[in-house]
Amino acid sequence: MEQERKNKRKDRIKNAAIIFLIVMLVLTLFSNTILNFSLPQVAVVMPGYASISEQIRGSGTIEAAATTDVKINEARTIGAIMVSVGDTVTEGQTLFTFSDDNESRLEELQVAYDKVKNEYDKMLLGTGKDYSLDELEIKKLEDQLAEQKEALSDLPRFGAAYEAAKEARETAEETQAKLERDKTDIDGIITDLAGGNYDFLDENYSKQIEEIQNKIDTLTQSKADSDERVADLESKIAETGDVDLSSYRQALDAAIQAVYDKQDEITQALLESENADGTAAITAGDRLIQLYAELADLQAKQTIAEGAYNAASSKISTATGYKNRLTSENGYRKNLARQIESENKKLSDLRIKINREYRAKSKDLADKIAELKKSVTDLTSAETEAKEDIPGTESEMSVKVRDLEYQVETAKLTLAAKQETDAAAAGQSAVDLKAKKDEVDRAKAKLDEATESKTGGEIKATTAGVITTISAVSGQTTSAGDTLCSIALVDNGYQLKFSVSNDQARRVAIGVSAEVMYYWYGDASAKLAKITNDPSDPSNKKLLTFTITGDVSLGNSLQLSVGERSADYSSVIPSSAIREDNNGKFVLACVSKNTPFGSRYTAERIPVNVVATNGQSSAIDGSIENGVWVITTSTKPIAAGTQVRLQNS
Amino acid sequence: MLTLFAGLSALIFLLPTVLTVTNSFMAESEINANYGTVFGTAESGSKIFMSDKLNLKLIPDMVTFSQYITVLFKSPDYLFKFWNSVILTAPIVIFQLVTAAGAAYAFAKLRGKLWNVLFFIYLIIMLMPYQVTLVPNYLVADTFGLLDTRWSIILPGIFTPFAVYIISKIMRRIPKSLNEAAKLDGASEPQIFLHIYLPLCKSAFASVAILVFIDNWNMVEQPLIMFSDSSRYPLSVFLSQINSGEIGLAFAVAVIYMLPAIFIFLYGEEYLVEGIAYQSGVKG
Repeated sequence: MEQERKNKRKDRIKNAAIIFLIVMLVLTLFSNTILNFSLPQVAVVMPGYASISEQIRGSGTIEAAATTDVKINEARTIGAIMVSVGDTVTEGQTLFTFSDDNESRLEELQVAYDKVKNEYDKMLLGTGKDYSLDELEIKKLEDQLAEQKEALSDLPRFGAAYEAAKEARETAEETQAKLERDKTDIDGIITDLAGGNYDFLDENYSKQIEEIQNKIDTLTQSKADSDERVADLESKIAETGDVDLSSYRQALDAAIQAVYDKQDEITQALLESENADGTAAITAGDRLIQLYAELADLQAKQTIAEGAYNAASSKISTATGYKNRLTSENGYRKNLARQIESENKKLSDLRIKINREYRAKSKDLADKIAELKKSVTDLTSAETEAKEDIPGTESEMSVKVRDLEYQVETAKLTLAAKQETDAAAAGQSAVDLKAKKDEVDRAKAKLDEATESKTGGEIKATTAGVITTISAVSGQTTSAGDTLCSIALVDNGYQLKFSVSNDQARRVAIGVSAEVMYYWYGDASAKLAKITNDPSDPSNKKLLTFTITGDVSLGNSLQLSVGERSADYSSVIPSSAIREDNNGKFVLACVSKNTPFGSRYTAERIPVNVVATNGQSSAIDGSIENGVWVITTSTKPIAAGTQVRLQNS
Repeated sequence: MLTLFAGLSALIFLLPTVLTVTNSFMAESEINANYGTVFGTAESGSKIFMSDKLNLKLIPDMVTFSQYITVLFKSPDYLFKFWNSVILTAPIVIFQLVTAAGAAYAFAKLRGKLWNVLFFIYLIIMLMPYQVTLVPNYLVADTFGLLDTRWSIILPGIFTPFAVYIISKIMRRIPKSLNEAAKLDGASEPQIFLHIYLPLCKSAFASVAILVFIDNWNMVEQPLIMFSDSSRYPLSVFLSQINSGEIGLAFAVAVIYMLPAIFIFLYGEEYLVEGIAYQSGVKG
């Protein structure tokens, strides 16, 4: 029993050990698989040095670059509104109609004025006095006053015209003076050229002349050398003299013949001496001796004749050589002479060309100066006329206007006083008279205003565009100066605005192009047109206005991205590596620790500040050290302290 | 009183083991908080709580298997080193038993001055610590080109005198009469060895196997000296280094490390007791 229990226990232990080993084996075999499954895999990057062109992003609605308000300058009753918001209108298109008829209104005002005027006149007539002349005088003064006021208002125009004429005249005179100076310079050059002085020419011509002259000098020098050589050859040929080779030849032939003859004679004498006996032999021998001596003498003479002949021959061949060289040299000299002549002709032609050119320039300048003189004369006249058109100085004219106003007022008051006096004499109340006079003036003012506004039965569009707002409703009675609607002038282009911080605004420059993002309806482009204060927060924000071109229309929303001037940063990482929580922005650094288990990698939180970003990359600063690997992406969500494994590790 | 004293002593001796086991179920943060001051495990950049003094905690605040999960599922190196230990220890145990059995039989059978001297030499060698023979072993391994190979550890481990001593002691106690009886029955020497001596020495073999296993399972110097490649290190070396790196996992690593030795011991406990008793002459 005990043994059985022990055996069972041993079996259990054995099984447990086997299971343990099997589990360890399986875990070992599948360790990498399990590791890959359990640990998140991360991609890391080391912060590096890079340039970032920080993108400023913003969005807005496309609006017209320019709008115009349609206003009314009198009180009218709106009848019908012929357009609605978003409609495209053309110039002259009816926008609003009025339910009140302007013509009848004018007529009503006129009638009212006439009526009240008649009443006033009747009141005056009640006095029995005629004030027509006084009124005429007042009218005359008023007309003069109106003229003077008009002249005063036109004064800036006259002044501007005079200044313009003066400036034109002065400009023309300056131009004339300049041209005259140029002509003087050119005439001076022409005089120098005539005197053979080409030093004042421009560089191009001077260079050409110098080149040709140098060539001529070189050729001339070569010709001079050639002439020397020719003279030398001729003298050598002369020294050689005429040699008659034939005489030397004859002398030589004669000497040779004499030797042959003597040899024949000797031969004969030898034969004879062989045949001779005794004293004949002695005689023959003596003769032979004599003959041999003569032969030797003749041979010597032959040698001399040969020498003379050879010397003569040599002399002749030397002379021939000289002659050949002389012929060749003469040919070379002729060639040189031709070249010199050609170059001289070139030089002469060039000088003629230069002369002609400068003379043409001078003539052209003279013509221009003549024209300018005429223009100056005309401009001077125009200036004088413009000056005469100026009625006077502003102060003088203001004084005149004031005087006339005073005169008009004085005349009116005088007339009024007179009328009062007469009315009082006729029993009319001065107060009533004044009141009626005021009524007349008011009626006149209304009538004048209505006449000036010239508003008819409808309001038309003064320009083409798109209706953006309508501020009036049908049946509404407007006041003078009310805005009835706004028209966006689409022909002037589109714009888009959005607000950025002052710091961001400092990083962009006017004219920089912006990228239109996420727009798939066609091509669109944007360019920064102006930077202004944002009305909503002028101290902290700026409003960026972009000019939009391309396939866009009013009301479209666009998102723009504009890059600032790029700057270099020492720690740049992908933007995907930057995370954020309640404690701010941070990155997860992959920190490796060498352990007995091998290199373990854990994610460690490092707080950072983003200094600049362009969307893909961000420049950071913070407590990040050199050589730190920043985790950019991971296969699973990770947090600080999580054990990770490197990609493909 | 004595019992109480014995009990207390037992508790004290068991405390490290119990601490190891219970702390293996602690989370890393709790371990760092309790023991970080000893091992200096405050990581730069991350804030962890660390008490100023050492806290020996037997019961974790929160029981978690995170250490075991990390060790078994996220640490392939640990598993490879476990098998390094097995690969080194198993051949040593097996071959040592084989060689020791033969040598012990020889010592048991052969008597004489020469054998006594030889036996004495065995004793002397057995008494020498490993460090004494370390340099000669290294030189021999280098001579035979065995450095950085497992044979540089296994071969010296196979031929140790301790097993010979133990088994020979047991074998000497086997009556010669059995030997003679077997011879009379016509058994040859190998047959006598295999069928008579070996079965009678089972307890000795078990004891030796356990002791040799424990001895070699815990070897540290030999791998450090003979191996230059740390991937060949056994778990014993690994565990000695773990405390400096991954204190949070040290306890789980230690528990798993203990298990094979515990299994071996539990399996052969009775033989060990029997062997010790036999040695001491106490009949158990």
